[in-house]
Amino acid sequence: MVTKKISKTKLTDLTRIIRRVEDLPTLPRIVLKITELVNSPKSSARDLAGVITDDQILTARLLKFVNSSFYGFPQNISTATDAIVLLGFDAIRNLLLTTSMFDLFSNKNKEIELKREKMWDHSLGCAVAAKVIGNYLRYDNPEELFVSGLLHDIGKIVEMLFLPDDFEGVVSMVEDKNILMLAAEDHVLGYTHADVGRLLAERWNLPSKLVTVIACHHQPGLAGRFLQEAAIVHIADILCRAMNIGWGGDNKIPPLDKKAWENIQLKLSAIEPIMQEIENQFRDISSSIK
Amino acid sequence: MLVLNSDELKPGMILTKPVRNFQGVLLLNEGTELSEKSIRMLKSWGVVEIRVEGGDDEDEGRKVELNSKVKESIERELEEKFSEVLEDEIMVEIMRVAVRLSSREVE
Repeated sequence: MVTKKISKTKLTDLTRIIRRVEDLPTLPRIVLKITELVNSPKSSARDLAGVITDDQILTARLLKFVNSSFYGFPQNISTATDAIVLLGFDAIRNLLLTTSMFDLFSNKNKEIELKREKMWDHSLGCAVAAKVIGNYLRYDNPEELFVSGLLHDIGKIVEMLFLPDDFEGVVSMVEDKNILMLAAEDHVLGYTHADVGRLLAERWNLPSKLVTVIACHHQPGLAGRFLQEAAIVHIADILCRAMNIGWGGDNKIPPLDKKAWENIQLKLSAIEPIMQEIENQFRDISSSIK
Repeated sequence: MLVLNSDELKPGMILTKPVRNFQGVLLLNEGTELSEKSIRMLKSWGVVEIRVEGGDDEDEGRKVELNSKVKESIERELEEKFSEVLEDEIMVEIMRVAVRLSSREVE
């Protein structure tokens, strides 16, 4: 009986969020357009360049990024087409998605803005970390892991900006009891940022792999055929918190999921070089994006 | 290097910069070892801010002490963060590397 009651409350809460999710920002049209082009086998670098150069800010960002130390190309790259040919379609989409995300959730309230920036640092750190782990494991598409890491905590940002009262209750419980935000959410709200993130990802029609990683980054065991991706992001999250990259919403390290560790089969001795590489790459990327 | 006023000088201290009077006239060259007599002379000219050797070791000592305090607090903070997950040897390794990386920034 008690269980039934809890799940009923949870259901109403989630419905309430879904209603609020309707007010959530949609992805900028240009990002959708670019995603479409990237996914289509028929499109060429020139098609993509055409869409990008229509947007001056996007073009400027792309050139700034491609000329940054993160990529370290020896010569100066001055056209969008060159940048696309050099970086590849996937990297371009990820870059544009990343920079648009930063804009999407900006906020005028200074205190919130500060928290949001720190959360984004955590997300960016996880993106870098997931990619570094992916490269280490010779994963097919490390750029995809980058996006997964970037979006894994999107639910927290949604809670902060769109459910401020709920979020405040969660934050004060985190501060009082020094517990994981995940635990506080479950206690105060009956749902977590993983649930909220999944809702948003579904609404944005993101690929099911991304939706699953967002929903299961704390429980990779539930990720089914995307276990490896969820496991990588799960571990990336832990490493970033250990390294104090940004703010994950609390001051605790989530427990390591045994299944995740078994799945990716990292050696204990690999941890140090991986963390070192994350530190280097994070420094490069955060100075070239902002 | 220490920067002292003339009444703080002691015989045996070595100048690291030449000392001039207010008219710019050279009184003592750098490298001079101070004697009772030269100190009296500097006092009579009322020279201030005299640079002499020494002090580096103390500064260095203070810096090392400060660094080790910062490191300790980094370690304490991480231990608190990891407090509930340290039964896992993987987490122990992650914490060890995290301590190393963040204390290196202090140096």
